[in-house]
Amino acid sequence: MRFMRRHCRKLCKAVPSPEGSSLLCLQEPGQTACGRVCSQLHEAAGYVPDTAHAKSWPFQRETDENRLGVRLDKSIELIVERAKPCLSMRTISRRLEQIPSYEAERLRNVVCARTATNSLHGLRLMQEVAEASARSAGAAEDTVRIVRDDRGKPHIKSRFGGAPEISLSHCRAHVVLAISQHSPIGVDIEGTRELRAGLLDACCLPRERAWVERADNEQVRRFRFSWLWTLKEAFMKAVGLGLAIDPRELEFSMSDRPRLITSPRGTHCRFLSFAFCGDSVISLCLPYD
Amino acid sequence: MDRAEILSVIKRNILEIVEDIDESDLDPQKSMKDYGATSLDIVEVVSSSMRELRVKVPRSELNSIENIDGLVDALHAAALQKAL
Repeated sequence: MRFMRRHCRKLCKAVPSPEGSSLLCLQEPGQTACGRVCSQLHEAAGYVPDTAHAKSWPFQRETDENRLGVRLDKSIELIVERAKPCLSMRTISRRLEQIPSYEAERLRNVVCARTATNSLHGLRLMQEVAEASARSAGAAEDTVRIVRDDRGKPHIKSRFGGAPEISLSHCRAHVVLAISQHSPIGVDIEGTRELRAGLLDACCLPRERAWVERADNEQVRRFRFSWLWTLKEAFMKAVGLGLAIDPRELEFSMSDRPRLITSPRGTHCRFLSFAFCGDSVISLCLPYD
Repeated sequence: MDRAEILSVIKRNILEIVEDIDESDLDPQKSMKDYGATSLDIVEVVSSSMRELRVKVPRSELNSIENIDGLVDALHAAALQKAL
């Protein structure tokens, strides 16, 4: 536990936060990273490039046309890939024959080709990471496999032990995998969406709602809501409970850097968020208690 | 309020909230995730349906629901309970 606390503090220190914010900007895969840092979310709709700060980023980033790899420190990594072109249902059926039967079973009822395509893409990413972890331990690639717990959360099961924790998320345009060598991790990516009546009621507590609604314009209101939601969903995934947790059981203070002030069983976590592609947000959650 | 009315409310919310679904495609035996719904879509569909039907189902029950039919059953049971 002491290790976890030390580790999370280290991660937090590694993140450049000149004005106490933990919302960082990432460019799309294939674009030159600019390293812009958003000091306040209300500036999120009009980021100000901060190229000087980019040079001091401690992150190691690898980028090509379709993939952005961000290494936050020695043990936390984020892979963002552009979603593959949508497969036809016929191709998807054929692909299901080539993946483990328990994964094929989960996808057999999926009628949305985009969801099935992204799920297959995510599975390939997880398998890649699992095989890489086996190789780095000097073990054969077939000593690892992806398993799911009873709530559907993926894990790497290995015969050599010490496999990393993973968390997967996808939206229409991107597939994201977070990898943590030592601790559970949760990740979520979300684009902005129309804030229909009832959505804020279902997901936010009064102070959170007030923060979202205080934004100057609709674009920033939507962005604030997406940020808040990704924090909540990253938490739900990190603790392995998913939607068994009512989003309103979690309360974030958003006045400075996002801070979880109420959670089931008082779980303590570190959070890190990335503004991505202009209007999407990726959040990571690392519980340490 | 019968099951058919509840199904109609849920279907309408799914069509409004989840992108790219055609009404004729909606099979109550499938889950919302099968139609590409995200977690946030599911939260919105469930809360909008509960608000419209004026019923409340505990989160613990909602979490074990496997398909759209299961959600209809849960909301129907809550409506019957409320009517007693």
